[in-house]
This record gives sequence, C-alpha cells and structure tokens, in this order.
Amino acid sequence: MKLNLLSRGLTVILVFIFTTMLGLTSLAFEARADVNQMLGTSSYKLVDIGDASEDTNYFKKTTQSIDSFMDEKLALIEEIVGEGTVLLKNDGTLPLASGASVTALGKASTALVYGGSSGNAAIGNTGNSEINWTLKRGLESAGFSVNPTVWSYYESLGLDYKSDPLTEPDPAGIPVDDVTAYSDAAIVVLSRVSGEGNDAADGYYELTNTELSLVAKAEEISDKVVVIVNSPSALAVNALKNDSKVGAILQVGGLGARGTKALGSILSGAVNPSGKLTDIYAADSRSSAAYQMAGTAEYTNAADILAAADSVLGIGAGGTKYTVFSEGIYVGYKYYETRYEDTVLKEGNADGSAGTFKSSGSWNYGEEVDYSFGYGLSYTTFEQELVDLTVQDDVITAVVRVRNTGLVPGKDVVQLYVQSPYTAYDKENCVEKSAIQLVNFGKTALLQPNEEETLTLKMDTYNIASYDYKNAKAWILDDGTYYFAIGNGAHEALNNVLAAKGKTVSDGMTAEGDSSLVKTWDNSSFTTLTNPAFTENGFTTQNGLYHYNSDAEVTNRLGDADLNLLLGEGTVTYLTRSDWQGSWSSGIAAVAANQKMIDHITFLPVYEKGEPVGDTYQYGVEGAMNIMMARGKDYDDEIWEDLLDQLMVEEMIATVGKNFGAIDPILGISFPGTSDNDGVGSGPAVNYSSEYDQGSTAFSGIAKYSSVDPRMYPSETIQASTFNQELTYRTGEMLSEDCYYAGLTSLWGPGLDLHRHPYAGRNFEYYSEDSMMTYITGAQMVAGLQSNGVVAGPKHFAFNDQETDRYGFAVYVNEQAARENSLRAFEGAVAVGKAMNVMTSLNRIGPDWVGESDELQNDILRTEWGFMGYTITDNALEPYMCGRSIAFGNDKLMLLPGNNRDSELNKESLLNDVNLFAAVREACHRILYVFVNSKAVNGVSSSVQIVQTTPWWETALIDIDVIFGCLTALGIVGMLASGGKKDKEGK
Amino acid sequence: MSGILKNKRPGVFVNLIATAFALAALIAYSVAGQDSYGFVPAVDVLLGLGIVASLVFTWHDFFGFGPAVVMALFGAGFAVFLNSRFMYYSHQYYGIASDPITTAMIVTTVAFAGMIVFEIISAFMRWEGNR
Repeated sequence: MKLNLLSRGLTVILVFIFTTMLGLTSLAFEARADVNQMLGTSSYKLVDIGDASEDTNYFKKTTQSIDSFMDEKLALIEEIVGEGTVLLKNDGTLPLASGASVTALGKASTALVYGGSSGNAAIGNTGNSEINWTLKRGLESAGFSVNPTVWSYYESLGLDYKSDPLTEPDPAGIPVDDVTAYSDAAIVVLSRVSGEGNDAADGYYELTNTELSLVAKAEEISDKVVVIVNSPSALAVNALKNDSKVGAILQVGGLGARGTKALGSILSGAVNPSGKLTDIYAADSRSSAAYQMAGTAEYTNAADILAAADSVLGIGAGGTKYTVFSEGIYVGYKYYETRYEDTVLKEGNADGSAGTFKSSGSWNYGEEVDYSFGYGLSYTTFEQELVDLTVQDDVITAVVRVRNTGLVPGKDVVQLYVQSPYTAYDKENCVEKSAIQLVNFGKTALLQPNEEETLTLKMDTYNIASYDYKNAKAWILDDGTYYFAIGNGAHEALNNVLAAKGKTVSDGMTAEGDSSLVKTWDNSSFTTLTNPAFTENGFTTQNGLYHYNSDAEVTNRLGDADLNLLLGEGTVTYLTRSDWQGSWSSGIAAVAANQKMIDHITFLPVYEKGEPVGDTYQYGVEGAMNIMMARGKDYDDEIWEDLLDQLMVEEMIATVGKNFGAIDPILGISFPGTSDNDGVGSGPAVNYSSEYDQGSTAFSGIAKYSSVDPRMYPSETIQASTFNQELTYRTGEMLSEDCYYAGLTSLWGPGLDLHRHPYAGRNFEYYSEDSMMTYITGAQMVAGLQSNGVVAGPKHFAFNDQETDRYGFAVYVNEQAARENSLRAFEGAVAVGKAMNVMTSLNRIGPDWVGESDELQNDILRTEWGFMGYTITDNALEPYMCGRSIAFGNDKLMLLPGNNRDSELNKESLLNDVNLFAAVREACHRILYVFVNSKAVNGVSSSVQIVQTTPWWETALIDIDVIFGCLTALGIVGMLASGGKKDKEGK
Repeated sequence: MSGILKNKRPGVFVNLIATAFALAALIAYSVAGQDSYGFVPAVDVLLGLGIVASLVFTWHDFFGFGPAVVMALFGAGFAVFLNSRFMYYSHQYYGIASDPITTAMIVTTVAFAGMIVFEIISAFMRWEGNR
C-alpha cells in the first residue's frame, strides 16, 4: 500500500517536471539565438566548399592570449581611474606619507560602488574581491596599512553597496581600541549608486546627518581626513568643502575592477590626479533648473488618451505621462555659469530670488556652487598660455602651451571654452546663449617639473553655433565678438572672459580672472548654416574632430515636440537669460493633450497601409548570390538588389523582428548571423567563451575565464573625467578586443544621454551633463571600438535623460535645446565617429515614440548626420514599440524570449502592404550592409555555405524531455497496474 | 456535500488546499496579467480545467489518477505561466522591469508555488477510504 502511494507521488512529481520542462524547452527553442549567445554555441556551422585557402579572418585579435589581454585590460582600467579621479580639495593632506597606517571609515569602505546597480551595464563579478579589488587591497598595494579592526567591523555588518545612505551605521559603534596605531589618516568613503529603471529619490544626493557625524568621527581619529566621494552622480559636498578639518576630497565614479589600486596610488602620490569634473557640483543637489522638471506629469485628459488607445498596440506604461525640458539649453553648468555672468553684468534679473537654494540673499553663485564643471586639482602646479587662436574657414584652432611649474610630475588638461555674443537678434528670436561652453579639450603627457608641452585643439565653428528655431530655422553664428578662453573648469574660463570685459571682484565676481588667457574672434557678419559644409572632413585622435559633409539642409524637424507649437504660445515658459526671475519654472506645466497629440500617442491614424506587394518586389528568388560578394561594395551598389531578392519573407521578418541580442543566419546568402549585446558602460554583458577556459594568470584562484564577467570597466563618468581623448580611443580599442573573447559582433554603447541632473538613474553609464563633452568622448569611443571590425551602437537615442516612466513617457522640448543638448551629444558619435548602429530609446519625443519618429531617425540621423548604419530599439517590451515602426526608420526590434510582433510582422501582412514590405527590405539592406563589413563575417568566404546544426543544449533538452516523458508514462502504467491489482484484490 | 466527502481521506483535503491555491492563482493572475507583460489566457484556461478536474476527482478518484490528471493540468498551466512571465522575472532579477512588483504578482507567485507543493503532497496521501 505504501509503495502504491509512493509510486503515485513520484509519478505526480514526474508529471510536474515533464510539463515544466516542455514549457522551458519551448521557451529555449524560441530564444535559440539568445541561448546560443549565452552558452557560446551555434545552431549553424560554416562549410567551405572551395579550396579553403583564403584567409577569411578579415579582422583579427590583437592580443596573443586571453591572459595577455586581461593583463592589458586591467592595466587600462587602472590607468582610467588614475586619470579620471578628481581631486576637489587638498590642503596638503595628500599625498599621504609613504607606508602610512590608516583607518578606513564608512559602510562604503567595504561595499564600494564599482559601477551601476542594475541592468546590463552594471559592473560584474560582484563580491569577487580577486577581480573587484577591495579598498583595503588597493591601499595595501600602495604600501599603506589598514586598520583591521575597523575594517572587520564594517565587513561584519554585511551592508550591500546598494544600501541606502540612511543605513550608514552610527559612528558611535565604530571600535576605536587600536585606532591610535592607524591614525596617520582617516579615510572616509561616501557612496551613492543608481541603476536602470528608476531615478533616485529626492534628497538622495544630499549628505545625511550620520554621514556628517562619521566625518566628525574621522576628525577625532586623525588630523588628516580624506573623503572619497564614490558616486557617478554629483553629490552635494558643501559641508565637506567648508569643513576646514577635512583636508582632502577625492571624487571618483564606479571604480571598475582594479580601480582601488589606482586610488591607492593617488593617495600615496605615485599617481598625480589629473581628472576633471564632468558635472557641476552644486551646493544643493536639487538646485538646477532641470531638476525642477524631474519626473513626469500626467496629461490632465489621460482618460481620453487611454480611451482612444488601440488595445493591440497600447501606449506603454508611461504613455499618459510627459515631461518638459523647460530649462531650455541651460542644463548643468550652462545654467549656473550663465546666471553667474548675468549677476556680474547685472542683467536679466539674475540676482532674483527664483531658484535660490543656498544663497543667503539673492541668487549667489558662490553659495550655490561648490565646484564647477571641468574643475580638478593636482599635486603640482601648471601654467597655461593661450599662444594662438585662429578661426580659418570653418575651423577653430587653438594652440596652448602648458608648463609644469611645480615640484612633481603630472598631467594637465587644457580646456577650451567659448562665449558667443548674446545679441539683440537673439533676444528678439528667443535664441539662448550659454555664457560659457566647452569647445574642445586635450591632455598633456606626463610633464616633469619645468617641462612644457604645446597642445593644438581644433573644432568646427559649426560646434559653437546656436540653433535658431524661431526665425532662421537653422544653425546661426551671430555677428559680434566671440571670447575663447582656457581655464581650470568652466567657471575659471568664464572669469577670464569677464576679466577681458574689464570686470573684477568688485563687480561681484567670485575671483579675479586672467584676461591673458582669452582671445577674441570678431565675426563681422551674421551667418546662417542652413547647409553646413566642412573644410576638413575626417577624424584624428589628436584632439581634432571634424564632421563629414552631407548634402542635407538643416532645418526645423521637431516642431511636434514643442508644446508652445502644439498647444499655443505661452503653454510653456522656457528659461531665458533675458529674465531669470520671470522664466523660472518650479514644476512641470499641466496640459491636456489635443486631438493631434492623442492621435500620435495612440499611433492610430499615423500609419498608412500600402497596396499588396504584387510584382513590385521580388523575394525568395533562387540565386547564387553570396553575402560576401557585397563586402566592400557601396550601399547603393546594384548587387544589393540581387541579394535582397534572394531573401525569403520569413528571413526578412526574422532579421528585423526576432531575438534580443542576435540576428539569425540567412542560409540562402551565407550570412552567418550576429551576436550583439550591451554595453560600453562596464564592458560586454556576455561571458567569455569556454574555449578560453584555463588557469588565469591575471587572477589567482580563477581556473575558468567563462566564470569571469567581462563587465569590469569603470563607469563612463570616470572615463570622461580623464579628459583624455587618446585614452578614450584606446578604451574603445580595448572594448573591441573584449568582443573577440566574448564572441560579440556588436556592443551597444556608449551611453550618450546627458546628466540633466544628478538624480537620473543611468548617469553612471552616460558621460556628462555637457553635450560637447559627450560629443567628443562619444566620437572617440566609437571610433576606437569600431577600429577593428566591431559595431558600436550608441544609446539611447534620444532624450532618455531620466528613467521615471521610461516606457512611453513623452519629452517636450524646444528645438534649440534639443539640437544643442541631447542631439549634439549623439552627433559626434555618428557624424564624426561613424557609428554603424544606434539604439533608440523607450521614450517619446513629443507625442511620437522615438522608434516611430521619422524626423529623428530619417531626417536628422540619416539625412543630416549621414548615418549609414541601422537602428535598433531598446528592449521592445511593450506593444507600443510596434512592428510597423520599421516603416518610420526603425530597423530592428529588440525582443526578449516570449516577446514577438507576429501579429504585425508576418508573411501575409507584409505581402499585403508594399510600404511595410519595402521598409523591412530596406532595414535588411542596412543591417546586412553593416555586418558584411564587420567581424561578423570572419570565417566566411564566397565559397562558404552555412548549414544548420543542432547545438548540444538542444539535444540535451530533447533528451531530458524524452526521459521524463518515458518516466511519466512508466509511472502511469505502474499506477494502472497497481490499480488493477487492487481492483482484483478488492473483488 | 457530506455525502461527497464521506469516506474521504486526508489526501483529498490537501488536494482541495492545492485547488484553492490554483483558484487564487487564477484570480490573481487575471489581475496581475493586466500589466505591460501581458495576459496569456491559456494559463487561466489550464488552471480552470485543473480546478474542474480536481473537483471531479474529489467526488471520486477514478483509478487513483486524480493527482496525476490534476497535476498535468496545473503543471501545464504553470509551464505556460513561466513561459509567458520569463521576461517579468528576469527583469525583476536585473532590476530593469517596466512595472514594479505588484501585490497581485506576489499573490500569483505564492499561489502557484502553493498549488504545486500541496498537489504533490496530496499525491503521497490516500484520497479515498476504499483504496
């Protein structure tokens, strides 16, 4: 009897396992390409039917082995953090004495932020101290002794790096028994971390009372107190700046794998800090104009939108929400510095009360800002001389001589800024002008004391033009005097400009400027850049970036993103330097969507279905064309038509509307498929192939590289803080090499949205608040990444500067702000770096989802910027990211297993809609054009055929299903048999 | 009702607990499924069939097949649920979900787990006195 029940119980367990396994098998087969990417397997193989003598490795690894690669990668990470750490304050506390005994304080000392907190761009190897070095290990490698008691105390608390600042332990609990032996210095680590999907809560970037108590405790322990701000976003450190007992403040973002080693070297003086801030550090983290618009508001008639929404397509979880970039162009330092100049010049009601957070009276820069954009100290001193500045044709050339006037070697950053004239024309036509804006930057080599170096910086005048969306509807260069200045940050450069204008501290300046560091250019006539032609086309790694020419007219494209054009003038008040007081907004304006906006949000009348395909196009033609015949051919070469004719409709659909991070092979044309994934923020989000499994020389105790997560790079904010274009290019090259070991053909990145304010969740994987910084760094990164056959996919294009309601919320912005900030940030990577892939964002621009925006994807990206690659959506989780977006310039949908667009993208619907068919065919054209010229075709020649194979996991899953099916059947038979026996016994 | 439950052994009551969890899962999923990750009707259909089967076999455990038949339907429902919610759970794991964790999804998850566990336990127990 007991056996009977046991048999029945086991059979039921088998039934459960069997049904679940069938479900999982179905899921795995549906996501075949993604599973293959994860496991490093393939469902296809290449068969060479020729003589196989051709070298088909068109792109090759540059390193000899994964061990040597890993050594180079770790050294690069160390170099980035060494150059990207910013010294904000130093009264001589740093560097510390050699061999000093120190006490590390703060929960973050044992739980550092190495990257972001979530998403594929977060840092990997969490908790593996062999890979992600602890602070203690980094300090000890620099020769310091670290207080073991306090270290153990924090370790024993087990606090996670993501734990809220409010969980900082009460300093009263710190064991101080043997602290005297480790009192050469007290090192306080304060961290903040953010991630994908959410923005930080209000006040998160303010110091807590416990943190301030911790600093006070450190001051009791030692007379040398160093605070390390371990945060990719700007933290309000006003109290630390003003605390005379805090001797030094170091700012560093997500540290990456060996970041603490570099940090130790900086503390010891072996490395001289040379990083500069990529975001302004305000005294109150909530004081920017942009932060007043943080988050979203709901349309007052949201119910009407929901009622009109198509039940199939939907509008996205955030579809009834919107935000307004009322701050206009005044993001980050452009707000604070411009308002500062106007307070000095006493113009535009700049010293009014609106927007005051820390000022004791009227708005006061000195009280509102702690450290400006571009600011950073060194252990040595430098003297810079603006030797020459010319504007010839359309190229600005600045020559700057730098001399190390201190006692120790160091690197220095040259930052070139410009102030454009703010004219009566501008005021009349609502053209805003930042009082100072970054033009270009460069970094010296390591200069010995008294050694000097001369740097040359170049930039197109196009990049200092302003966008006039009201009158000229084009980029303009005002007539008048342009002030070019250098300085240690935007504020110092602006002070130099003000000095050149004859202003002093008596006029309200925070410090005297140096007019000798300013040169002027007088533009004698107003110029409209409707069709900008660039004298120099190309790209160099020596601080020279030039647009490639396109024949496109540049004019207004984004009228539907401006609420004043959609709903009438006065709906939104954009911040203007003509009236700071009157134009300051402290919240998102409440609006109701009109019918046009509702139509676009719900995407109902926008799409026009075409006639049946008929004979307009051919498909599935039996031919002998091979993808390799198109390699190196122009995009418009006629061979492409023959190749595309060979594609079957099912293959076309699979290419654009299947898989998350891969494209399936196309057997008929011998296209081998691709393997794509995130991300430049921290490194490839795919593990190294098991073919490299071996004892590691880079990490002790790690026997398998497949267990090492490649995501080891420091956060993008540190990469940008280096202000080193050559280093950024080399980082791109290293990431490219990483892709060879991780088996990727494309890397989605870099992230090029802006830090509109500190609270945006993904600031850690974006470079800066400044569009030119992002323009330059993005261009260098993409160029380095694509230098050896890997495809870069900058993201998230565009306006994805916040995470709140990211699935479908709308961004409303005027075209000047859109052009000069968010779009310019991407322009460098595309128009200069020649990115071959762009990932679009989840949000809307105006009422249109970006992936449906013909204006963004076709007019601006392709026509104006000359983009020759393909676009891919971000994770198309929600149905508003629809298949029909292909007809609006989107090329590929990113679809996770279980997610599809079969109802829109199927053979019947395509053959009955020539518009959609043509768009899908063109998308295939773009995708194939990109990858036939990439490392994706390594191993493929014109004599190679691709045949299907069954990877081991498919066989294993089928075997497991069969085994459990048989066992289940046996169990049922057993139950039947025992049931029959019981019946007989009963009878 | 007392006639139906006459001669019933503990197993059938454990099965009824599993069935109650299935009913909770069905209702909770109908609510939770209205989020961005979508609702797959097959889940509720299979759970509904499982509940009906459970009640039928509660009335009389034909050939002692009650647990196996009920588990086949509950298990299939669970498999389809897992398949359709793969993205939801992976997004929550990576912290990139478009929707927050809702009470309805927590109830759904707990209910599915309870349904499976109690159905398995019931299979190891007698359902009727004459068997």
